[in-house]
Amino acid sequence: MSEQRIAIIGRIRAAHAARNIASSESDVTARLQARARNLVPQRGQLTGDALRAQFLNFAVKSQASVAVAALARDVPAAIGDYLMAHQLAGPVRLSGDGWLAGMPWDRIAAYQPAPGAVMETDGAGVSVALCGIAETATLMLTSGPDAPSALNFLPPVHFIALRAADIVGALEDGWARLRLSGNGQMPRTVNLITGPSRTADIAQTMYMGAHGPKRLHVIVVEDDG
Amino acid sequence: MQRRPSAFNANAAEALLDADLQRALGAAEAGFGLKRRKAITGLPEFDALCDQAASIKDHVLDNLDIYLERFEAQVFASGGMVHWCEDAQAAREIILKLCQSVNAKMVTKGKSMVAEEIGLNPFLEANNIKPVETDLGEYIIQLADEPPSHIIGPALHKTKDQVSDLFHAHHPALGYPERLSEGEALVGEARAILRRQYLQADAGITGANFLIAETGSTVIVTNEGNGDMTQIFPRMHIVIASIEKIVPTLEDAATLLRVLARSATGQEMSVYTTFSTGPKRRGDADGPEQFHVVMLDNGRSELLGGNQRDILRCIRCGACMNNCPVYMAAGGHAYGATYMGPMGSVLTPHFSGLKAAQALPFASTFCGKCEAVCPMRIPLPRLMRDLRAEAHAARITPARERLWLALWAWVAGRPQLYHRLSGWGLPVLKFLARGRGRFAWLPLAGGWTRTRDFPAPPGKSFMAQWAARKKPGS
Repeated sequence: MSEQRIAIIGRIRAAHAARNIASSESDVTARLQARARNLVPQRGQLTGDALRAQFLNFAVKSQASVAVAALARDVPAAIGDYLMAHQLAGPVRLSGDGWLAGMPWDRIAAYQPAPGAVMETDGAGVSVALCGIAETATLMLTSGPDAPSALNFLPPVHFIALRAADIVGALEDGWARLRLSGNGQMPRTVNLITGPSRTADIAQTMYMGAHGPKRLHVIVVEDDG
Repeated sequence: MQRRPSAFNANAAEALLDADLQRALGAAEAGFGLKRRKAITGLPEFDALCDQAASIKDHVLDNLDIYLERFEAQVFASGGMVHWCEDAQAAREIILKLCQSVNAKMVTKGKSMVAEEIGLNPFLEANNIKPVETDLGEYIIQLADEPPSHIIGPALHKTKDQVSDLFHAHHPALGYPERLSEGEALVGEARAILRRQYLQADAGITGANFLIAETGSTVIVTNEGNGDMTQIFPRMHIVIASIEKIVPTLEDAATLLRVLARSATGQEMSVYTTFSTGPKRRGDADGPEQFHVVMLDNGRSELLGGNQRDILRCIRCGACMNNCPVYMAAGGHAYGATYMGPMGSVLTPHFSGLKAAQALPFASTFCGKCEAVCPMRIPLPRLMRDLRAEAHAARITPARERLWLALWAWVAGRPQLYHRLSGWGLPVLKFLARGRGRFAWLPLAGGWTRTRDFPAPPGKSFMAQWAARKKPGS
């Protein structure tokens, strides 16, 4: 294996030599350390009400739906309302996130809300987003002991709870949040999710729910207390 | 349709008479152009972002050796492994070894053009490992035993009826006896069948749109979620990627993501963009126990030093083929190669040899639309023109073509003779057209006039008209 590595690196250096350039360790180190932002579009630089309005607007454009809950304790009811309105069934699988654990799930007991291993038979999953990116209404979710990635893909309905304060402008603001979270290491999986699963592989026609969830419902929580 | 690039002309002629294919292409052509334009209109900074995206890739290519080493170090630090492969055979063998190390009988696959490039599926099958494609388009063509006809829409050439027939031929054995005709039902059936596969697979193989040097992450961009299911459930996640996929930082990836989806499908952002870094962490609820990145060169390091280097900036968005009149008439299979359309016509000669693929750089009208829509600013017509010149110089273009070119060049090099000859020819053509302004038939132009009229030239050449108009005023 290492022979192949030497050969490939050798050919790259020969190609550089043929063009009279030399790669630069210091340039590379500087760029990797600076992590400088390139051009961030205007639409990624909004603040306040405009930021939130754009997030909500683009979420709907991405075929997701959105509800706003005043308080964290309103989240279970918002989920129950959605399931009832669309005549969907449980069980509702919760991520192990501490924020969710503090919510009154007994209010929708009929939908069997519970944390634990994600099952094929789960009717819906509930995750917590690290942040929501208003530029494209993209939700950033990270894997961890309390956050199985399967929750984002296996159940046919996906609820994502998002603190209003975690709505950021651009993808770069999302990276800043990611670097502050955890122990500074990348989690195994970072999912950027923009709308529900879809495919256009049959005759260029869009169908929802290709492999992942058919429905994505985002619940923005005003006050996370 | 012959699966070799040298058959392009015969394949294209066949494709033009294929009514199903023409219907499928017609549906695609209108949609792609419109969606891309709409997405770009919504982002005033798009052009500036493309310039930056291209310069990020140029910087990576100038420092590729170092970036690859940094990427490898980060993968290793997060608990994964990098396997360097000079060619397709080395890549196939290491992937087989990895699969065998977990006694794999069946592996699921996310969409990967590099896996197509190395011919992974037939190789795994020959070694008693069943690869199951999970991207719906790839799944359809795997059932049909066909290669992809488009880099982001592998089954673009299939009509809905053809998909119905394919499913009805294969799915009864799996407990789905009915022939479905509605698209939603077809998607649902494939969804149900593939769910079982994700959960049973021994390893999951995905490609990568980007490799992030800063973090050692591999990135996939999908709309279906199949690439995620492929890597969440099995014990082993194998990523196959080519060396030019490196991007320095997450910030740089943000810039590339802004131009990728808009150029490809006209989406603001694809549904799922997933960063995978190493195997599952201690205590993680799910994820693979092993993470392997198979890094393929396959001639790219040689491209780096030559005049075709710009093609290494390609991020495989497919905009060049979506906007190519030749691709949209002939379809992807006509190219007889893994990569098709303008980017394929540049890449294939490097994989198959210019002699075998010499027809491809000529499969362009040089209308320039591919270059205009390329978010990575790749001068595709220039690259194809260089390949044409190379093929001509190496005398591997058809002898008759070279003879006519030599004759024309000889005449064109003698302006007086050229003008005199065209001065004779034009009135004759005008006379033959007899005022209709077009020909239904013309000697030596049967290939053109068989399917459409040939426009008649005016009676005098441009030069003659120019001279005539200049006289009174001067």
